[in-house]
Amino acid sequence: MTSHVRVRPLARHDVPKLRDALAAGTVADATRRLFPRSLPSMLDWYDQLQLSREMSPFAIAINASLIGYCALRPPVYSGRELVIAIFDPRYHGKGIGTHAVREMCAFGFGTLKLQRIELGVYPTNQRAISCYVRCGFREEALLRKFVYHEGVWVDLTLMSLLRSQKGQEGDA
Amino acid sequence: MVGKKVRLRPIEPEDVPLLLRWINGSAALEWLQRRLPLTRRQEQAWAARAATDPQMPTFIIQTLRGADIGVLGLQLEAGRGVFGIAIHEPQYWARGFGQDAVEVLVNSAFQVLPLQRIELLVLPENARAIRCYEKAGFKREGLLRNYIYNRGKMQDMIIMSILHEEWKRTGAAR
Repeated sequence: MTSHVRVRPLARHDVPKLRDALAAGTVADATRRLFPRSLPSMLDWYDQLQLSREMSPFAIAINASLIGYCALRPPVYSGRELVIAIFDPRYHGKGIGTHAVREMCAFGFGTLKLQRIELGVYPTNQRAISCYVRCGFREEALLRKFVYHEGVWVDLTLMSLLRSQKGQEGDA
Repeated sequence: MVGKKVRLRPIEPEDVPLLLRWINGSAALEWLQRRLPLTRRQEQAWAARAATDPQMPTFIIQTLRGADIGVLGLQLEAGRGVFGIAIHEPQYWARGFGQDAVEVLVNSAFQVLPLQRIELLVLPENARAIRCYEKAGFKREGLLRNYIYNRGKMQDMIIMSILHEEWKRTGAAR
C-alpha cells in the first residue's frame, strides 16, 4: 500500500484541496476544529510559509490525489513539532501515517539536522499513539488542560523522538 | 502585588543597569538557560519589552524592606502562562523570598488573567527550586528530553504546572 504513497513538499496547487479537506472537518476530532477559510486566505497562508525557515509543509499523495498533510513547524517546547493528518478515512489503518511520519523524521534529522522532534496527541487517540511509538517516539509528559478542543480544555500527551535515539528503535 | 516578604514592582527604564549587572554576573545563572553576556543595548531592548509587552508581564522582586533581589514573569500563550523566576542576590536564597514571590505572582495571575494553567520548566538537578514550586502547588507533568543545549551538552528539563482549578481550591484564600 505505502509503495504508492508519496510524501513531497506541499505545492501551491495543493492548497484548494487542502482547504476543502479542512472545511469538511473529517479529521477535526483528532486534530483541531477550525473555521472554514477562503481560498485567498489559504493561499496567503501558503505564501507566508514559504518565507519561514522553520516551517516545512508536505503533502501526502497517492498518484495525483492529495490524501493528507504533514509538516515540521516551530516547536511548542524544543526542536521542531511534527503535525500530520490523513483526511480521507478510507486511507486510515493502512500504514500510510507511519510511512509519512518516518519520512518526516528522516527529513528532520537528515536534511534539517534536528536534535529533537516533538508532537502533541490527544491521550484518547490510541491509534495515533501506537503509530508514533512504532516510529520510535516516547511519551514525555501529560500536559493538563493544555488545548481548547471541541468546546472544552483537554489534556495533551507530549511525545518526542531524539536524534541520539535514531537507529535504536523502530525508525531505523 | 504584595506578599508576606516581597512585593512585585514593574520594570522601569532606570532598572537597566541593575538588570545588566544581574544577567551578566548573577549567581543564579548556573540554574538558568545560559546565554552569552548581553550588551547594554540588548538588555535595554529586553527591559523595554518586559516593561511594555502585554504578552510578557515581568516584575522586579523587591523585599518589603526595599531591596531589589530578582526578576520574575510570565510569557502568555493561549490559555496558559509560562512562568520564569531568578533570585539574583544569593544572600536571599533559601529564606522564603522566592517562595513568596512565586505565590504572589501565581495568585495575582489567576485573579487577573483568563488562564487555564501556569507552567514552568526547571533543571532536574535544581532540587531547591522544584521543592519551592511544589510548595506553591505546581505538579510535575513530565520530562522534556534534550530540551536545550546548555553547558556543552543537551539537557533535559522537568515540566511542572498548576491548574486554575487547583489554585481555586487551595490558593485563592491566601
